[in-house]
Amino acid sequence: MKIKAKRTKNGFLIPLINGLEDKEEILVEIKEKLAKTEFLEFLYEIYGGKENIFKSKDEEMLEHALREKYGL
Amino acid sequence: MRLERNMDYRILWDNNMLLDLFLLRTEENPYILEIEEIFSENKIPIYLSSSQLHNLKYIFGKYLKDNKISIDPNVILKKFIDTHIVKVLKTPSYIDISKWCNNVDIEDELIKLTAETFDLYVLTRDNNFLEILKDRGIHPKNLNEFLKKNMDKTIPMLDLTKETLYSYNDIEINIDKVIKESTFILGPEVKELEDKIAQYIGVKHCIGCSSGTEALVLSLRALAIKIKGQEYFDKNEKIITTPFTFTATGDAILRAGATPVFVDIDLNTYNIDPKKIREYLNRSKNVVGIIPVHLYGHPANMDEIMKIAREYNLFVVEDVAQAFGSMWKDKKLGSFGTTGCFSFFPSKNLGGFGDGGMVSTNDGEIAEIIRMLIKHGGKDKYNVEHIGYNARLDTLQASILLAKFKYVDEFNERRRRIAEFYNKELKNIKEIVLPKEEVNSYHVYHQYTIRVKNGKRDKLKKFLQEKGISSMVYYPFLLKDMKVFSDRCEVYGNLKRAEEATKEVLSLPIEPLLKEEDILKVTNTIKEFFKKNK
Repeated sequence: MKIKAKRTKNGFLIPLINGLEDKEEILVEIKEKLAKTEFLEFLYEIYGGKENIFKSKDEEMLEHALREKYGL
Repeated sequence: MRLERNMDYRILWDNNMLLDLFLLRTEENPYILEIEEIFSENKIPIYLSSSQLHNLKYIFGKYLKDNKISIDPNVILKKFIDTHIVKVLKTPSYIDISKWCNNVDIEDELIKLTAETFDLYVLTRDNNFLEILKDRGIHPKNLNEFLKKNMDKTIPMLDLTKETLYSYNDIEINIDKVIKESTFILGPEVKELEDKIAQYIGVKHCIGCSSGTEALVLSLRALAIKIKGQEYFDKNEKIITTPFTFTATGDAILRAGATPVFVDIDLNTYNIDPKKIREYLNRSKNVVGIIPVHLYGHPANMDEIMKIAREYNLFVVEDVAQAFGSMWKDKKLGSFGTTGCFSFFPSKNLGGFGDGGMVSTNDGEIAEIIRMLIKHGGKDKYNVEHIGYNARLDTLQASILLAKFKYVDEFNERRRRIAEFYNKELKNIKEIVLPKEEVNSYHVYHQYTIRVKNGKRDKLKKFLQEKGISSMVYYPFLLKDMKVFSDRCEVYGNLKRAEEATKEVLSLPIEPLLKEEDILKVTNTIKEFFKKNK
């Protein structure tokens, strides 16, 4: 669910909406825009916002991939 | 209106750069996010060599699999293609095969060969590869500097390589097909192009030929054969045309045996003035036809010209060399006269990789005669009826034109937007007359031609040249002043307006892929000139 919050002097005002009337408190997750381009945003979403999670070397990866491909 | 920005760099990405991006490897390549943003935001094409594709896919797929990232690599590759301008270029077959047997990195060699073939730079962080690439290589840390340095480039009248790269895949497919089939003379591509253009123009017949000039000669020769039953017109037979055009228009009349009559032009369009045609016809005899030229891509007044032709029983041969796709009252040029003559010279709105031309007509008999004339003058080339030519359109040219034909409307629209942008920027300079688009006209701006008043044209041209901007004078002489026409033409009146045009016209760079910053550089330089030369 996405809610538009209005800026006030001391913060943001979240409107009371259907389905939340009986809630005492709600948890709001703030997601900052991670990337400027559509493609980078897409990648960050896939990798859970993390960079540099791949540690192997390209040459090793290619060798392994080719081994798999040619059944070696 | 928004034109493309000045980011027409030719940069090929090495696989290490692509993998840095796909895997978000910012430690190994701290520049990659910024670089992606520059290419993405500015729509700079990312060129790849076809040789890169398989390894890239294997490596990337393996990384995802080994790290248990549960997304299909194809989804990411598709997103990459959808959000960037990715252009795959061929890996040439002519690699030095001995390198295959040496300890060279064959993958890098193939990329280098593609880059050399298309005059591309290679973006890579592989230091060994950078050493091999020399000046052709760019390290990511130096990209910004490279881009800035290359912003200050000169602006040519047109950049054909840029245009070719835009539709390269289509061209390559068609050329390969011709090579495979090897029907180099009058192959199926010629017929396909003729049919497509006939449909596009809205005529019954189109006949491919060797050039725009030959299209004119063939038309006139066919008319002489049809109307007079003789091979050529007689010298006392006159054909009215404009003196302000490329030599070919007048030259074709001479080659068909007739005498050109030059009458003055309309300075709003630079095309023949129908009033002057009528004036001349009221005073003279032996006129057989009119050749209006749709100069710079702007139509001549075809209502008036066709009306006069009907009244005086004249043929009309349209010179559409500069106006492919241009219209008069929403009807394509080349469909008004007995014939329309097109040129596919490389710089034209539809241009080949050499000379080429076409005749359009609704007259079946004329079409049939032209088909004979292009093949030595007969249906059977070993037993000919007419004095013919070897003037066929090559299959290879036709195949290239077919590939480029797909883009002609888009490119004409781009030219119109560029002209609009020029007009907006230059409208306040009092000493310049901007090109006009008259009522009923659809201008395709083969040239964007201004008139520079008060004798400042040549000085402005020089000033632009000093600032790295090309410009051209189309045309510095009237046909009547050329030696070839000196005792072979007739001139009606003083041709004052045409004379004025030769002294004042200046064509500025225009091509479909010209960018906003380039045009601004041109217009700002012109503004600077007039500030300094009040």
